[in-house]
Amino acid sequence: MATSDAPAWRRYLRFWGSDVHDDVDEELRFHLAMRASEYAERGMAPDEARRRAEDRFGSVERARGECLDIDKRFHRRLGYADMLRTVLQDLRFALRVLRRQALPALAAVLCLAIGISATTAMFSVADRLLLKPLPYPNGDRLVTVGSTRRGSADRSSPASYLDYLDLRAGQHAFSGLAAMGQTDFIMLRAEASRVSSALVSGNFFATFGVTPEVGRTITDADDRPGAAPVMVVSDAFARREFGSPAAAVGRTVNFNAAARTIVGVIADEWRYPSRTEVWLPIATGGYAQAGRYPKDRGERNLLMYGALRPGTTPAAAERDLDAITARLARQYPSDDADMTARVTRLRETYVGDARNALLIMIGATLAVLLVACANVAALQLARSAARTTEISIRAALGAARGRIVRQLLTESLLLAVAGGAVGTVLALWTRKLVANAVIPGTPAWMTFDLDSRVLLFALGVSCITGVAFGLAPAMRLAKVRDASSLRGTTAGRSRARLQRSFIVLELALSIALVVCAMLALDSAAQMRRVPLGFDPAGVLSMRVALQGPRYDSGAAKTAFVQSLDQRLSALPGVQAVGAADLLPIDGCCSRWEVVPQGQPDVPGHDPSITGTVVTPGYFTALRLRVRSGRVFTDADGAQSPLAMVVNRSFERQYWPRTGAVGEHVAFGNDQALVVGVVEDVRQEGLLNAGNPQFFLAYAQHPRTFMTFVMRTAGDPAALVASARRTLHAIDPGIPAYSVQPLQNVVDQATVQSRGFGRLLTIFAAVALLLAATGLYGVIAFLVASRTRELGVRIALGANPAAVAGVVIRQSAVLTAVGAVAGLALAVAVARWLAATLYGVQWFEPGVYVGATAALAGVAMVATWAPARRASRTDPVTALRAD
Amino acid sequence: MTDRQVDILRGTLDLLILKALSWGPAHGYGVARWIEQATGDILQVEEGSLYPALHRLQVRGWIDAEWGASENNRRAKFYTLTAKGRAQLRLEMVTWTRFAHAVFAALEAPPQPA
Repeated sequence: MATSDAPAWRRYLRFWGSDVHDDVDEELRFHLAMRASEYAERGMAPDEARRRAEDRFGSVERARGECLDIDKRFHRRLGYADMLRTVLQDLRFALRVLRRQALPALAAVLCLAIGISATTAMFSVADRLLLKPLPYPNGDRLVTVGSTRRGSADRSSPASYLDYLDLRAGQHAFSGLAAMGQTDFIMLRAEASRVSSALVSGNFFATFGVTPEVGRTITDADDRPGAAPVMVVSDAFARREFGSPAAAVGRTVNFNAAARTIVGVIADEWRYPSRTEVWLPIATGGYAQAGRYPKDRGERNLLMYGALRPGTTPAAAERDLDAITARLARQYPSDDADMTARVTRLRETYVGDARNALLIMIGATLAVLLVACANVAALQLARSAARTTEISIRAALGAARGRIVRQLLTESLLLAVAGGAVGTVLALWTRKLVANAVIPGTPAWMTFDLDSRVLLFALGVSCITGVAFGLAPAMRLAKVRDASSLRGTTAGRSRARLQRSFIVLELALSIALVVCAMLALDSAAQMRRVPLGFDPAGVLSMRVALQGPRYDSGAAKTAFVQSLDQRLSALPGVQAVGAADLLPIDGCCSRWEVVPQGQPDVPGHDPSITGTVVTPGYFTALRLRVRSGRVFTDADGAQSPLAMVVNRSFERQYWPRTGAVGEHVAFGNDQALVVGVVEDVRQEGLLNAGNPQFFLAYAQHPRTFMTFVMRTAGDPAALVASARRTLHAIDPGIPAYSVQPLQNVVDQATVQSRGFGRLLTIFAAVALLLAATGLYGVIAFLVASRTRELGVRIALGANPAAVAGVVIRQSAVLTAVGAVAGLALAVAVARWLAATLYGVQWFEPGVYVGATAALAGVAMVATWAPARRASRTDPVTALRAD
Repeated sequence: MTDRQVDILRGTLDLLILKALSWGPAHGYGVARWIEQATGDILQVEEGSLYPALHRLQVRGWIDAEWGASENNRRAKFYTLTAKGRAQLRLEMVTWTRFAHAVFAALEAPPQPA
C-alpha cells in the first residue's frame, strides 16, 4: 500500500503539516461547536448548549489521546515509506545514470569485484584460522601438552606412557589430560587394508568433549591391560565398511590379526587427528601387543592433549605440570632430566607458522582493495567533471546539497554492491588459492565456507568501499552551486589534485606489492634450489607395513624385506632399490639417545639424535654421497657386529679432526662401530639443515614400517602397478600405500611458499594493472581537458614531439612520486617480510630495480596512447571546439 | 437521553461510518448526525469513540481525509470513502445482514424442549 496510495498521503501530509496535535484539537473543537450550535438552535442558552455538547461527547481528553496515538504511528510509517520511496527514486536514477555510462560503470564494478573477492577470500580463511572456534565441543579450552627437554624449541614433543600417567595423576590445571599415539593398522576384511588409527587414553574423547553418534566412546575402563579389545570408528569408515553407523556398532573386525569389537561411531568433523578412522585404547592397542609397553620411560611417542579448567591459562597449566616434571626429573634422572612441560593452545598449532603468511596476505589483499577503491574514485572524479553541468542544474532547481550527496553516494553504493556480488562469486575460487598460500594440507574440518559471516563481511566491505570511493567525488560535486563553477578553475584544479593523489597512491601500493611478490617468488625459487643431499628425480617410493603375527620376528621381517628388495630390483627399468623406515624431508623425529664413546659429557647437551634404519641399497638408490669408509652391505646381518653410518654433521660434532670411522657409539644397551660417513641430507624437513644423523642396518634393526625407494631410468609413475604386483606376489596381506614419485614429497615441502609467491604475484599484477588503467584515465582526461591549449601550441608551431612531451612529463612526475613513495613503503614491509621468508634479504637491489622497471614500463604503456593523441591534436578542431 | 436510545454495538460503528460516507464526503459531526437521523435517533453514537474510529479507518486506507470549508464556512476535516473502503462496506453489509437474519431466525423460532 506504500506506493499505490502515495499521492493521497502526500497531499494530506502537506496540508496537515507536521503538527498532529493542532489538527486533532481543531477537529474536536469543530465537532463541539457544531453540536453546541445545534442545541442553541433548539433554544438553549449558549452556555447550556456548550455544556450539553461536552456532556454528550464524553471524555474529550481520552478521544484526543487515542486519535493522537493512531496518527503518530501513522506518521512514523509514512516517514519510513517516504524514506523508502526516496531511496528507490535515488536507485532508479542511479541505475539510469550508470546505464547511460555502461562502460565506466562496468570497469568500476570489475575493479571492485577484484578487490572485494581478494578481501573476502582472505577473510574466510582468516576467520576459520583465527576467529571461529575449533569444531570440538571443548575447542576453546583444548591445548597440546609437550614434554620437552629444557631449551628445545619444540612445543609439542611426545611423552612416554609412564610420564603421561604421572602427569595425569598429579595435575590440577586440566579437566582432562589425554594421550594419543598415531599409527597405522592393518585391517583384514575381504582384503587387507591399512587404516589410519590412533591409540588413545581412556579420557581422550571426554577431554575433547566428543560424544558418539551411535554407541559409546572409549572410556577408562577400556584402557586397562586385560580389558576386552574395543575400538571406535569414524562415520565415514562405518559407512564405507558396514553401510551405516548403526550397522557398524557391535561388529567384530580382524584388526592387526586380532579380533576387536566396534563400540561406537563418531561424527567425521570431530575426528582428531583429522584423518584418523579408528581409535583404540592404548592399553589393549598395538604397544601392548608388542609386549614392550608401558615399560620404558625413555620411549616417547605419545602426544598429550588437555582441556584447561575454565579460567586457567596455558602458563598457569605449565607451572602446575612443571611441579610434577621437576619431581620426575629427580626420580628418573636417566630418562627425565631436564624435562619440562609446554602448554600451547591447540589453535596455535594450526596457525603457528601460518601467522606471518596470514598477516602478509591480509596486508596484500587490503592493498589490492585500496588500489581498487582509489582507481574507482579517480574514475568517478573524472566522470564528475562531465557531470558538473547536470549537478549544477539540479542544484539550481533547488535540490538540497545533502540530497545530491545522497544521490551520488547511492550510485557509488550501487557500484560497490554490484562489485561485491561479483567479488563474492570470484571469492569461491580465490579462497582456495589463499588457503594454499597460507596453510597447505589443511585438516578436514578446516573448510573455508562462504557462510553468513563471510557474506556479511563481503557486504560490509562493499558498503565501506562504496562510501570510501564515493564520498570524495560526491562532496566535491555537491559543492557545485551554479553553472559558473563549470568555468571556475579552482574546483577543477583541486579535483585534478585529488585525482592525482589517488593515482600516486595506486602506483605506490602496486610497486610495494611487486617488491613483496618478487621477494616471495625469489624465496620459493631458493627453496627449490636447496641442496637436498639426495636425488629425488626418477625415484618411486612405496610404504609397506609388516604387521601381524607372521612378521613378529625380526628374521621374518628381514627375510621379507630382502626378498622384496631383490624382486623389485629385477623389475625392468629399475636401477637401484633401497628402503628406509623414514624418508628424507618428512622423516622427522625418530630420535635415539646415543653416547659416542671417548667423548666428554657435556652438560645440557641434547644427546638424542635422528636415527634412520636403512637397507644396504638405500644409499645408492637415493645417491647419497659417501665421504669416507663404507655403507652397509649384506654382510651386516643379524649375527655380525653392529654397524653404523653417520652423516657429516654427526662426525663434525664429535670427531671433527680424527674422523668418525672406527669409533664406537653406544645407544640403548648396544654399541655400534662407525663404518662410514655420508654427506648430510635434508632429513627433518627441507629447511632443516646441519642436524646430526646416523643410519642403522635393517638386518640388525628390523622395523615394522618401511618405505621402499626404486630408482628408474624413466618415469617413476610408470612403475606403480608393477611395484604393487611384486609386493602382493610375496604377500597379498600387506597393503602398499603412499606409492608416489619421491619428487612429489619434495614438491609438497615447497607448495606453501610457491602458492604464497604465486598469489602475491597475482595480487601485484592486478594492482599494477589497476594502477595502469587509473594512470591512463587521468592522463587521457588531462589531454581531453587541455585540447584547446595543446591546439594553440601546435598552431603556434610547437612540434608534435614537444606536445607529447608535455603529456609524458605529467605522467612521469606521477609515476616518479608514486615509485618513491612505494619504494619507501616496500622497504619498510620487505624488512619484515624477509625475516619470515626463506633465503632472501630485505635489500635485494635487483628486486627494487625490477619493480621500478615494471612500474615504469606499465606507466609508459598507459601514457603512450594519450600522448600520441595529444601530439596529433588538430589545431583547427581544437580551437573551434567551444 | 431516553430509554429508546441504544448504544452502538462494537464493530458496528465502523460499518455505520462507512455507510454514512457512502453518500459523499462528510466531517465527523456530519457522520454522527447522519447516523442519528438515519436510525430515527434510536442509535446513539458515542462521540468519544467516533473520532478514534475515523482515524483508524483512515490509517487502514478505507477513508481519506482532507481539510475543507464546512457549510457554515468553518475549517473542518472532511472524510471521503476510498475505493478500498467502498469494497469493505459492501463486504461488511453482507456479513452484517446475514448475522441479523440469523439472530432474528433464532429469536422467532418456536419454543422447543432443550
